[in-house]
Amino acid sequence: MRTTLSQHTRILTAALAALLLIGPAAGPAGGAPGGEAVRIVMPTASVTFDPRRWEASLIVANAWKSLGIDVEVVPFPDFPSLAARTGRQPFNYDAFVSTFVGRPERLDPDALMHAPLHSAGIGDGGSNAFGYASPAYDRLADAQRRELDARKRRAIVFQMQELLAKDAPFITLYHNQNVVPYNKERFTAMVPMIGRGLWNFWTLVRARPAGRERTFRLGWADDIDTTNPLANSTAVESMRLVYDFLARIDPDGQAVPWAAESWKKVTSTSVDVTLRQGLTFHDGRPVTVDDVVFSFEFAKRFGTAPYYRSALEPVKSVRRVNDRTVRILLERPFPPLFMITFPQVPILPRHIWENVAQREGVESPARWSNPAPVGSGPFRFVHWRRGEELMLRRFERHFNAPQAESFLAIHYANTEAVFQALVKGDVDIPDEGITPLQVGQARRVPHLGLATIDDFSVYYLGFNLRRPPFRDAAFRSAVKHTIDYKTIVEAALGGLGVPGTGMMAPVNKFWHNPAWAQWLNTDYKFDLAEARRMLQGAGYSWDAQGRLHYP
Amino acid sequence: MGSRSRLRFILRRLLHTGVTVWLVASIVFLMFRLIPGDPAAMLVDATFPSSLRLEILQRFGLDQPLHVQYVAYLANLARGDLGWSFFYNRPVTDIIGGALVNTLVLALSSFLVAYGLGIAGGVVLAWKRKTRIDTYGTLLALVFRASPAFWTGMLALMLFSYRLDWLPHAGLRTPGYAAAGLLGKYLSYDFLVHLTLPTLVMGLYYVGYPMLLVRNTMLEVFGEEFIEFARARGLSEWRVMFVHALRNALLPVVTAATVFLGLALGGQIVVEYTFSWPGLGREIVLATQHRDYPVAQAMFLVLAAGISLMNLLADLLYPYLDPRVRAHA
Repeated sequence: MRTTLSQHTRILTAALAALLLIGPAAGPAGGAPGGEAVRIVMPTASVTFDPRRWEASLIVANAWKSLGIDVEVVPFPDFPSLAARTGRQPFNYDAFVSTFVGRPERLDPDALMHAPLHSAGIGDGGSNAFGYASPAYDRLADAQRRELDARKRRAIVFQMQELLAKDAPFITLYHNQNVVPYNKERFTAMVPMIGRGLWNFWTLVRARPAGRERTFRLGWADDIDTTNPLANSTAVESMRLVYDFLARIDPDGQAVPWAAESWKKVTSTSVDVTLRQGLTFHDGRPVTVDDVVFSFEFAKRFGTAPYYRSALEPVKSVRRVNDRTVRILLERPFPPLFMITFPQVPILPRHIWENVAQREGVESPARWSNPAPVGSGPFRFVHWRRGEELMLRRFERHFNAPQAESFLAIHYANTEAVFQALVKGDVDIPDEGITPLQVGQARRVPHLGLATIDDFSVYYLGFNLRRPPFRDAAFRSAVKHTIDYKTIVEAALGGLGVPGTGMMAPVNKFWHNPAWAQWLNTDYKFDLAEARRMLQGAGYSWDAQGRLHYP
Repeated sequence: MGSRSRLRFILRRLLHTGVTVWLVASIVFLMFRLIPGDPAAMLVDATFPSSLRLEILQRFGLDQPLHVQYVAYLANLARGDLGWSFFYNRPVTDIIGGALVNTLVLALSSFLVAYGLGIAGGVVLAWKRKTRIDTYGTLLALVFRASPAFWTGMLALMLFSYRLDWLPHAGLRTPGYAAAGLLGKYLSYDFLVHLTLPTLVMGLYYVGYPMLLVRNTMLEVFGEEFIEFARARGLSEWRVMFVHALRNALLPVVTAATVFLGLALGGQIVVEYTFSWPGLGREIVLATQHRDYPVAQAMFLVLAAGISLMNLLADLLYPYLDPRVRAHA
């Protein structure tokens, strides 16, 4: 009797287990699925906004469709409209494809790894569109901000990358490479800079005229907004030629002393900076430590450009120590001071800016048009004709005076016109990389050379963790196996890019966690059968039409 | 029409124009706020703390309720204050001024091409009606009318600029030109060379309308007795066509021309974009992309005001050109 009962129990248990295990697998053949069908709304860039991102989005959506997921891809024509959908109430999206453009200031991990992923930014209109809330991650993100020892800080950043790879609030699809054409007959020694291509400060100070032409010409499709350094955004790179900074980011992405001769950490919250001697403003007046003190305080008080916030928020005050030295006092230890603050706060001539609001009759210094900027940078301002061109001239008295005599930035209405200007020989470099289609054309033009530059822009697939299905960690784990990196790089990018490795691209060598090479072959390996097995294991099932259902 | 009734007519038309402009002002105000996305998105992304976005919206006054923004906008408008550009960080009037001049120059030059060629061509077509000149001339006008301006523009660029290298492909002047006075900037040879291609492309696009209009009206006029009489007087056919027939066929052309000039202010978006011409049309595209509401609103207002004024002008010109209108009024 006892044996029979135990036998029965055993058979029953086995049958139950078989049902549980086989049930979902038998789904397509007619088993009863559990919950509702899985449906995903995916906002992304439209094909005209960014053809590569659009293609990559379709490749992902197709993989999901083949798993039986109902995917609705919603294209957006520009960044403001896409941004208005993601991260805002009512958080009506499941996955979205967006970008963090690689700028040198973003080589420091704080920019991409703190605000976008910290739980403080989860709310309506907040910076954390994913709704990712991990106390462990928050602790690490805050800790790296305070760690002054670069190696220790890197260890923390590696841990953060590992945690993100495991939790997958987003999956980076790719980091692209830029192909930048340049006129090789007119100038030599152009400098490719990480995250910027050829259009950067170093090209402008180092490029050497190869022939008689001494004006270096840039073609761009985006006009500068304003020459006021307190308020500009698209003009930042041009104004970096006119104004000088305590530090600059070198072509490899390291902060190097510039207008500062050196700096010294005094305590964890104070730094002494020694000013280089013999600096002169374009109007002939010397650059003094008083100008430096003034610039920091003035920018902190009146700067409306968003980057001043991250650069100056940790700075408590700046004091003059002696004729050559200023002391910077911080609210808290701030490791990116040299990467984020020093290269972004321009040294302004105090004699021009001090009473500018009264003198010019404007509401605040940020509203002054600053029609003829006076800085101490390697180029002097000549003129800006809005919608037409910006002209700068070499400042002979600069300690690093450029080789070219002048710099002329010419505005075109679209990127195709910029490219044609290159082909015609009207400009020497474009402001951004060209399309794979144009690469073929550029190869046939004898005076054009092509530079291929790794970018650390992050093209990512973000998930909305506030609601199913991406709220479910098991679902996200399965989705890691649905990204066909090879096809994305080959088909969408024309081979110009690498598989995504979180927020830190491989080219950002110091901060990039090398374990990614392994993760791409294990957890993130493209394997739809494995994804299917994992979904099954998590209780998802398929109905007679092959549609995926919640457990 | 007595001078008092004419005054009343003018006042009534001015009132209509005012109402039209107010309606346009209200529609563009709402329209730009309905497009998803706000100007802060151009400045801050997720790498900045969330509070910054709100601060920026506050600075632009976009945190206020819509009706408060609307009342402030209308009040400023009534005072002639078009506002402050979010993107360029300067008064909107500064931005519109330069762009308006560039657009007007292009509009006027293509007007001359379209209506000069169009009117002369229309007379010739009517004169040579039912011959090959008429058939092919009409066809040609229709072909230019039917092809989109960006397409003819691109073809013209490929041929005259990229291949033959006769004409520049973008901009107002050769980059790096020496500064001259305002007049010198627009009267130089360099400027004319840059003006040629966009003018031709736009002029040819619009040439068909006046050409066919003149042709058809001329054909109607041909039946009138005074034409018979002119011929009977032994006047040359040339004189009959251009002096007697054309003058009486011009009335609808004047209406078309005034409306054209109004529309040409905004209708050049495509041409300005193709030829990198820094005018109103291109600025509208940029302002929309940047969500620079004050600039975009002002641009549309300028266009609407332009069209309304030109319509008003047509109404006022009519009685002078056609005594019959005077008599009926």
